[in-house]
Amino acid sequence: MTANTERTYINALNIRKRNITFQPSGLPFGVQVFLFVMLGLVLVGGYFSGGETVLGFLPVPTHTLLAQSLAIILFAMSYNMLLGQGGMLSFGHAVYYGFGGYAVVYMAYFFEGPFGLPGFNMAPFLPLFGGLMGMLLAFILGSFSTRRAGTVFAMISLGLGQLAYSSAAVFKNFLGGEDGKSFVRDENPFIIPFVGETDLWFYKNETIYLIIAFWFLLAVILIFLFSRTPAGRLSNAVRDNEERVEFVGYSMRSVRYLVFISAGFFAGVAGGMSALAFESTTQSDLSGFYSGVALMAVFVGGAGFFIGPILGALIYQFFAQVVPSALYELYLGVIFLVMVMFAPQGVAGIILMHIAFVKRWGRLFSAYGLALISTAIAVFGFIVLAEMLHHVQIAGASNPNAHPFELFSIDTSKTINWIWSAGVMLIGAVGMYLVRKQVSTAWDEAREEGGA
Amino acid sequence: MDWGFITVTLLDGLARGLYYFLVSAGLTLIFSMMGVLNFAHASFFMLGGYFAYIVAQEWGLSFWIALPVVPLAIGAIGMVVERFGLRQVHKFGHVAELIFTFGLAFLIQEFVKLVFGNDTKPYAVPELLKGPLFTIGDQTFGSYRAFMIVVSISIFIGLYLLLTKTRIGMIIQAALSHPHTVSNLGHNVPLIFMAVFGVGTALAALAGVIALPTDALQPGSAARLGPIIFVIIVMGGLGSLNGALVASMIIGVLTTMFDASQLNVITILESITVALGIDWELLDRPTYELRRLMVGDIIMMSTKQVGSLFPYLLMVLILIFRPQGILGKRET
Repeated sequence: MTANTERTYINALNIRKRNITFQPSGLPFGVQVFLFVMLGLVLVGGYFSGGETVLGFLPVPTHTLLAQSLAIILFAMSYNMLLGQGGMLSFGHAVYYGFGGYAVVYMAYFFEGPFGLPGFNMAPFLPLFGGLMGMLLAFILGSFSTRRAGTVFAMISLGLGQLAYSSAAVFKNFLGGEDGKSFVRDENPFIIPFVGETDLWFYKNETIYLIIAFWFLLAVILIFLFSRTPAGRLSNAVRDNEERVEFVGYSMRSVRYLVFISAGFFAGVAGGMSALAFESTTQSDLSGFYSGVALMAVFVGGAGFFIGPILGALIYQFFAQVVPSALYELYLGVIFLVMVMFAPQGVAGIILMHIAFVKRWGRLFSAYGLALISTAIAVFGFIVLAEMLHHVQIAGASNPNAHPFELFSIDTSKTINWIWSAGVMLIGAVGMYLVRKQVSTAWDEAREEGGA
Repeated sequence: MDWGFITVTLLDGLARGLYYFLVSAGLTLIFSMMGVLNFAHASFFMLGGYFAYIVAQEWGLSFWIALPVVPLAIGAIGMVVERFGLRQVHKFGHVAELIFTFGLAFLIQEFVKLVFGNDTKPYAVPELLKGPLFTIGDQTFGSYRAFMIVVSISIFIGLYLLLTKTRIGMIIQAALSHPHTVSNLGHNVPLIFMAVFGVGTALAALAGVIALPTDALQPGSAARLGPIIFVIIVMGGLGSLNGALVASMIIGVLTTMFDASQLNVITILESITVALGIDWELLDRPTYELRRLMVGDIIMMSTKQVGSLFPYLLMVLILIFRPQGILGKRET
């Protein structure tokens, strides 16, 4: 296995991407500005409609949930800077997220309380402070961990992650053990200098959401701009071929270090945002599981694409918050593994691949339709089986009726239900296997221009 | 310090270190073969424990049937994973394989939660091996731990003889270092890789069968053991079987000693003042306030807590200063 194939995987669409003009960086300047303005409008819209329904039927999550989603998206975007842009696989990125969170909790605890300045409120600046602390930690830990990429970097990040996670349990007074540290937001309104008091009260979740949305928009723009700077381009070069970068005269180590520090900053901002929204930071914010969430979100969404981590984090949030099942982690894990094996370019990669190459969409319909139907059958069988197993595990014999997604009821005590669900799953799997060839022919045909 | 305590702790540490070695031996074999760190390795260890629980406890069959059957079954599962999962991803490179095994580990944990539930399974020591083997002072050494030591050592000797003395072992060793040459000589290298992966997972499963009666069998078992195993193979040197043995012993004995002794600065101070004949009350009160502050985290840090931190610290330090480990020759 040469080093080259390794890097092309991280950016599986590397060769194809040259043709893609639909990436944000390939769009005209005016359109880019328009897209960011639209993002800003969506964020402001969240402020006015949080916890209500828009258009009469579309439910919007509460402000706290929206704020948490923004934090997770930003966290995934900062992880994408590492993995997608810089080619560094980290198993401990949550350390910087959690550290930013703890720093914000302490800052809020002391400077809202005993050491606070009269007439001045810290809250609007807390995410920035979290980012600076995350950056500081990344500055220290990155100084030795970014010397090498690949497996050594992954192992050091794993070790540091475990160290931080265990430390949270050991230093009970300082980091609060499993429960973590919390603070209480104060009750003052937002005071604009020379203007006076506003109606934005800091104890309200709406105000906090507005602060978080502001920092989120700023961070997203900064991440986008970073990817367009020479340093950002160089980090892509280090990912794709570090020897060549070294040969041209750049230090691959300092490029990686720079990317690592920037990613640490944005992870810290995300952690600070989450701490501000929930008024606490816990041990699980530092955990390897949470680093894994970032890895999954980036990979499922599409590593290396600007839009990838956003899509991935939204998919994660959809499963974690919307899917009415205790088994959402299992479903996410299955999706992740399937993506790793068959679609390493992620959802964003698949979409862009189609936009860029498909000349004749009509050719795809029948094959994709068949693939969709067989996948749906297999997924349905799998879900019923998994929910039945889960039900037996939780409720046992006392209540034999399982309710997958609360949609319908299944008697787990009857053997026939187990047999048909396993059968349905198998039939779907066989269908997926059979339709494989058709999809690839259809894909080849759709790419060709002109008649057959 | 009494000698009984030290002897028993050392022997317990030896038993633990040897089962660490059973797991890390498979992992390091797989690494030297495919160049990939198998994140899911500890998950096969945990699956071994759960399968043995089913065979011995739920089906009512004996532990002695589970001992050979379960590793064979898990080894077969490992081969299937290699053939249809890892080989599929192999063409994308090592980072892809690492991500794949990470996803697999996650999935196995979720699967175990789904099938067996979150609670700790009561998985008892077999009747024959209950009770102490010998007693020194008030310290007892269980015969089950002696059994663990015997099994692990015989596996190690068997593995060593297989790799160095037999023709199959020669081919495997050659395939590890020069896969293309071995392939040109007419050997089926992918089959060898699959077999080695199977043997590695079977060793992990065997460790799971024999170790989990002394440990808690729960879905978190893999996540708890996994990082420790990584520490061991990084410390011993990636791909070095002897290094893995040495590192397993060191980590096993040290963690057992840290676990067994519940010392911290305060208790040490107390025993010193008592030994000097000073009234402990004089120091107890002023230090009490100190302990409740943040400094107290460090003052009250017991050896057990140090034991939960030091493997990772050790691993980070080794990766920084000696990436090839104690006995390893290659850098990762």
